[in-house]
Amino acid sequence: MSTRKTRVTVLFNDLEELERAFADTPEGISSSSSIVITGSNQWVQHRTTIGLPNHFEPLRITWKATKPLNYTLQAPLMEGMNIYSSKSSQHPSLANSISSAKYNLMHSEAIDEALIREILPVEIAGINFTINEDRHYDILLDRQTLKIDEYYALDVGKTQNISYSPELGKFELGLFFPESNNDLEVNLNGARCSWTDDGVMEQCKKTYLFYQRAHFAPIEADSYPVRLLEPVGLHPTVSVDLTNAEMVEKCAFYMYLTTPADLFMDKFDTSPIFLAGATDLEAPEYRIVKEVWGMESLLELTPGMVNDVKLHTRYVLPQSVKSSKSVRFTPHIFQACDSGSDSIHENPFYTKSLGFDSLFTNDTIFKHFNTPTLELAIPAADSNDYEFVRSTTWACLIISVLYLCLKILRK
Amino acid sequence: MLSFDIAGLFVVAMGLRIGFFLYGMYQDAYLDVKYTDIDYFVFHDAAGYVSQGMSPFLRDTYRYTPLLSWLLVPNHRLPWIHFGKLIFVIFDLLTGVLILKLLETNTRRKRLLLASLWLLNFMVITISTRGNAESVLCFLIMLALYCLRFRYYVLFGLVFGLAIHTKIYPIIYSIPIAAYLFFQQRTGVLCLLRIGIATLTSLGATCYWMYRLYGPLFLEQAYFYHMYRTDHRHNFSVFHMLLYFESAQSGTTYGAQWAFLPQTIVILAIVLLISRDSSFQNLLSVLFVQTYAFVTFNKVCTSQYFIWYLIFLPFYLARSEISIKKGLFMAVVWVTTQALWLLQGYLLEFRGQNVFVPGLFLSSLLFFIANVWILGQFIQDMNKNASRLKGKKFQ
Repeated sequence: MSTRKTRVTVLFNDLEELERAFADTPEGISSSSSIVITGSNQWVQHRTTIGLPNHFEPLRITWKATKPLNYTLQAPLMEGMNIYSSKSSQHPSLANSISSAKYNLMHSEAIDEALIREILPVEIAGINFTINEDRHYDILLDRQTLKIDEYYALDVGKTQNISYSPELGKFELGLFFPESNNDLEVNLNGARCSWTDDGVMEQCKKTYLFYQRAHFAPIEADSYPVRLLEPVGLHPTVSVDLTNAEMVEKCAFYMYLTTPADLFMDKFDTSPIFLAGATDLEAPEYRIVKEVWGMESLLELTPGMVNDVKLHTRYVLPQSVKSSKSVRFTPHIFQACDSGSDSIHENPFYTKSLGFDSLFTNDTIFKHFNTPTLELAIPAADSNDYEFVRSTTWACLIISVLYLCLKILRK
Repeated sequence: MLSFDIAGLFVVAMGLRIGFFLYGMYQDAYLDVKYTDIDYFVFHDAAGYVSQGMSPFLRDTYRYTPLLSWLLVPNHRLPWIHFGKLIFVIFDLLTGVLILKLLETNTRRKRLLLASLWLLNFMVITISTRGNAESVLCFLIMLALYCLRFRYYVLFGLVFGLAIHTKIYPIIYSIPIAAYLFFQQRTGVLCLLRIGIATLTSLGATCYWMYRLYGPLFLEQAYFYHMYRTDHRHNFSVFHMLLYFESAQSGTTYGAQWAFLPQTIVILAIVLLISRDSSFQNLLSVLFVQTYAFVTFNKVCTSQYFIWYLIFLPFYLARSEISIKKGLFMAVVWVTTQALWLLQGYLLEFRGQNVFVPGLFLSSLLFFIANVWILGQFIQDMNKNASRLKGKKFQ
């Protein structure tokens, strides 16, 4: 038998907004079974926790929508859908994963709900869980617990009614606003409300949360431009301008980069700290993807200068019209610092699990800079030209052989 | 006696190489684009493993005989990364010495002029000073031919076997060389057998030795890889587009399997030219034409392959009756069609333009046709030469 819990956390922008929610709720909040919130970009974490009868290998599935992230309630997510599975798991649908240092990594640009349902425990079928592409997801399976975190912002002007329903299981609601703004420290003030199993709301308790966060994006996040050098050609160079960055003790700048198999890095001319996945220096993309979807790497960047990271393209499948294959990738630029505190990753909303941060020590704090998605076009042959190329090549070869044989035989 | 003009040629040849070598060190240190060949770093890294008693094949993309990495071990002992280039330069100069020794011409001036086609050739100098190991192979081939010329047959076999061990392709020379020995009435079948055994012994012994040291990975990387690779990335070969298309198809295709056939037919047919004139000088011309055909019809072709036939060019020109005007025209055809391809290659590689068809395809076709036509002129010239000689004999 599986057990279920649901916890919804709404992060208001300020106290005034939070108070309005209480005011909007008819009959006053304490005697109501539901709460009405008027949307104004409040950030929501909707967490479903399922207790499972069996043990499972660690598995993390993330989906990043096109909207920005909120580092108060959530850990950073990489672009698209990423599936981090434990090194020992051998799920056939994840066979193309990159075998990384701490996990196997599968990626896709689009969300694949069928795959998610396939690799999660069967108990997922029992809950009312639908994926909305416009929301972020961070799904974590570990031992006997499946945690599904859904993140979204409330649309401006729309009212949302948060209420209990039996399929949510044990239900809890947290309503907070940030008391002070600080890069590292989070002070949340607000209330926690819980419902009894028969749907009656118990009293809301005033709650104050204080924690240090391991991830944050400073306001000056865009100060280090990242771009592709022109002309891009078949050997694109990602240029990260860290001229304005300063060397800080116990800190270093990094680029975490995953790319589809269309691109690769030559570890002999780029010297990454770490490189996994498709490292073959010659094979075309259409051979590589049979084995692995792409590559993952971590590079150290030098502050105070422009850092160029050289990539190479692979040959891609000929296409039915003369065109190029468009390839997108998102280099993540961040600064990682030792904080000396191992508890930095402990907070009520997210934990350190499988992901790029697992490549770092537990006391590391991450400062995330801009992560632009770069796009380039790899020229592909037109498959309609195949017949022309084949017949012309062979005709040319046959005539050449005949011509040369005649020349040899004619004295 | 080393005469003044020959010494002068070598001093200039050496000076140019030192100049290029020093410039290379400067460019590596101060410019973004490195002068040193990418493969040189592969050799260098592999030699690093060897100097620590490990296998050179621990270095990805090291796909050569381990002997080459042994040559570069001093890079790490000294330690001086550029040392290996000096070794390649020495082999390149020694090749020049052998070319000069083997050249037979009417005038001394012509001999020096032809030898300088190698010794003062900027392409040759660039290739060895960038750290490309091609000059080692060129030296081995020339040394083998030198032994053959002066009838040190067993020694020839041993060196030739080593050359095949170093890079497989010289194996194609065994047929014209066997034909040459056969038509040279002096050497009987027994002698031919002795040479064959010497070659196989040297080839077998070096391969077995390397296999004992480095295991199946040696065979895998140094030989099998080169046989089964279908290099689909753009290169001069006429097969490039065809192989790109066919490598992307799921079903069986015949392009890659049958690509060897035209090449085999042509390089075998060229052996017939030995029967018309079985002199040693003609053998060298046949080797020139055969290598030219081999490179032209190959599945993969990059500019370093051109050096494979360049070592024989002085010998061919020493006997050629092609007029200077026509010769120049042939050179212009070779250079322009190649330049046309290079332009397309540049647009694709550095500008990212989709020039596969028609640009790149037609220019590689044109370069191929130009090479075939040039080959035709060479063969015609050799045939004329042979019948002229025959005419002389009958008089």
